[in-house]
Amino acid sequence: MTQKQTSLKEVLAEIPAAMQKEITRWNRLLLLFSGLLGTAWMYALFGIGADRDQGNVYRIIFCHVPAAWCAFLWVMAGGFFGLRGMLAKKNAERFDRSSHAAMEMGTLFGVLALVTGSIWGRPTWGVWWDWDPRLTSTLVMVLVSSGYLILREFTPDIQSRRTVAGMTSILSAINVPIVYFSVKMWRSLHQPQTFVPGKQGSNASSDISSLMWLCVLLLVLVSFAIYKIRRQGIAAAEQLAIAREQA
Amino acid sequence: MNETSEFGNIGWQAYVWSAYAAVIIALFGYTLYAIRNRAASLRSLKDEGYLSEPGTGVEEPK
Repeated sequence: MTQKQTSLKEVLAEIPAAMQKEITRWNRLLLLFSGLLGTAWMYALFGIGADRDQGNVYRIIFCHVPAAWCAFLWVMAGGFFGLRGMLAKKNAERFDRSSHAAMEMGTLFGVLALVTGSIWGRPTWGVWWDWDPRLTSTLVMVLVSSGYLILREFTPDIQSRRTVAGMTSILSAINVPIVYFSVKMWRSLHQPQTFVPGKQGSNASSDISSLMWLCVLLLVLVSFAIYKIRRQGIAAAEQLAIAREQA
Repeated sequence: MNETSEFGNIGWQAYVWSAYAAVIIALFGYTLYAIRNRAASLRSLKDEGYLSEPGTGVEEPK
């Protein structure tokens, strides 16, 4: 005999009001931010003019650079939460969940930065991939982040998992400044940093810079909404596992 | 389209649109996974009585 599964609407009606509010808030914000990002990308594809040197193919910059910045942000956040989780005496599990969600996001955006960069590299450099410092260091960062997720999956003991995951997240975060400054530290095929702190102007024209910053901001907001949704899912899954163990 | 917009036999559109498609598909897929995973865990919490029973030791997921 099969039992009728509870619909999500019924579940939402049962859960605490504060949690209900959180769930609907982030669902709505995700829709709003995605709409805004979609509009900015439409302008990036069809509104703004072509580049003098690269022609139209430079338009990849409006999804490649934001994806790379999101990768930096989330891997750093994962490392920060991982460290807090290891040091905290109280609420270590909450920091661990935040680190887990952030590292998933960091890995996803890292892969996207590599994929979009590779697609851009083919028409501009003539190759899909080169063992260049920026590309290689980004690949190392993504591999360490992937290692974090694999270690989490295959470490059954919750305490050991938190410690191992925390250490790996810190290791992954250490890669971020190396990736960022790789184009300055070593001779690289990759272009220099697009925005140089303290330098008047940048390596991009002002209209490209403004649109790119807007795309970076909007993708960060979209990624934050996705992070919150994933974080809620991780918390619910862990609570379920703990409740089943205690039962 | 200017001269620099053609790369061999492939136009710039193939590169640009595939880059955007990769990002959109990956983000959409991951969001769908995150929403479904959250819904499944909440549903299990509810169906197994952990959300509604007071004193079970199950707090609101944080």
